[in-house]
Amino acid sequence: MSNLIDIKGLTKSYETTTALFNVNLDIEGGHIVGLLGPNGSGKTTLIKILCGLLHPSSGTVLVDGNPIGVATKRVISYLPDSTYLDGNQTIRDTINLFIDFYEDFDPNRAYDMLQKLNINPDARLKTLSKGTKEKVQLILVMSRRAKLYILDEPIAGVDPAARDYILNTIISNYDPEATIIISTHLIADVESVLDDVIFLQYGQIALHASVDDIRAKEGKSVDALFREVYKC
Amino acid sequence: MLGKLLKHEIIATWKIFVLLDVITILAGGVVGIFGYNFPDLDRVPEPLAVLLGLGFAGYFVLLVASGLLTLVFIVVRYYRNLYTAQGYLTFTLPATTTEILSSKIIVSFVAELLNFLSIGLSVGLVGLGFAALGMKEYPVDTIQVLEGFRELWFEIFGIDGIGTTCLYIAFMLISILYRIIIFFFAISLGQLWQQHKVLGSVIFYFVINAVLSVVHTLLNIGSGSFSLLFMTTYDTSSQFFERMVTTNTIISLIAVIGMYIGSILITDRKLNLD
Repeated sequence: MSNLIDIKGLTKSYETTTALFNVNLDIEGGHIVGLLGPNGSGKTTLIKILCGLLHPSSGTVLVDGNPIGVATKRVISYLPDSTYLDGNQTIRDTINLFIDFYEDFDPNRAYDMLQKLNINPDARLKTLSKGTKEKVQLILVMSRRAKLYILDEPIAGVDPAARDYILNTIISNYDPEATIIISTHLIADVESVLDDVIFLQYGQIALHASVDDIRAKEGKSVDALFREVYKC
Repeated sequence: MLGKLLKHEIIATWKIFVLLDVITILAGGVVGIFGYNFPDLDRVPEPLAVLLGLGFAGYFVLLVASGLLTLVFIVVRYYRNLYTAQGYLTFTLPATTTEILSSKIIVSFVAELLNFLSIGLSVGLVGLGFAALGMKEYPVDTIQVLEGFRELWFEIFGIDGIGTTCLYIAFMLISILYRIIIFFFAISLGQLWQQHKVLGSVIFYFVINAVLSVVHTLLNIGSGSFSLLFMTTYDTSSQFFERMVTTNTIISLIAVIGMYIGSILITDRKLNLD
């Protein structure tokens, strides 16, 4: 199977720090990948480069065989780690925007999920609670039939019930041929859904392995291994 | 994609722009009606005269506020939409940077133009009210008055015929675009700073304005516009304005194109959304 993501020699430096250094990474389609690491390890930087929100200092990044640009943005469905929608718009306005821009967006699926959660599509986003906004954002992102879903900290800052809902939404709405990258440090909550994990440390890849291999070779859960690798 | 971007930019902004423009025009209409029924100040009690003065001052404050609010809304929306968390959506849409920035510039330009016209219409309505009052008391030939205005415009600005009218309209349109794009370019340049990007944008705004003012002045001296001010022939005024407007239109057009390309290149090659 050809790689969905192909990264070679990726480095991202700021004035005084290097967020990513010489990262080489291949990810195939049809996997749920956990991008794990402590704060400041380079997870969000890597994600933003994949989404075209940051420019690498050096190296090449291909998604679905294309360099980052309009073609890759068509196939990536991105959930940032913060509220990113215009608060003055209604949910319906935002859905209409997604309908216009993303050919793979399924509005019926979005409205169905909103109805199940009893969220009024005509509500303005700024009137919603933080948790509800996050659910709306997730609904929009997961209502696309994208090749690559990139979810940056989708369960951080929400209560356990909402976490279950979010993970269920991810699992029940994704196409088995698509790849999902979930960035998080709440490993115990997501471990059960992951196929592979990538450990990032000091801007470099410390480990890239399947969850099954980790359990077989290390004889421990990903969460336990993470605690061991990143022990303070 | 540009069409879709324009559509959603209009959906997100038209209510604010139309509201400001309608208020501006309505205020002009009210003051104009009032102007038509303006009382003789000699027979008005002093407190009422003060109130009238305040009312007119309030109207002019409203005109200034309408222009400022439109501009502030445009600039803040541009910044928020592109360079804050909202940029995560804007720059992950499958559109090129050129399309994204162009949609913002086009809608902002139209909004500024409509605001400019609404302020003009508002002032026109006030002027009409007072002119009608004047004509009620001192009847004059309207055609003769308009002809007088036309001659005055020709004498001062040299506006006579299609050519000069088009030149002045082009100057007005490019000036509006020029004013907006300086803000946008300054915001783009501010993004080159690793920290304090807003402060960087403000500093760049003043630097760009200062540099362009010097360029305008030097090229106007070079083109001989200013030297016309020291001549005393009968058509000096119209020649001065015509040459100055031509020079400034060309400089502004070049600056607009340069800043447009600069904004796209900076955003395209140096975008770093924190």
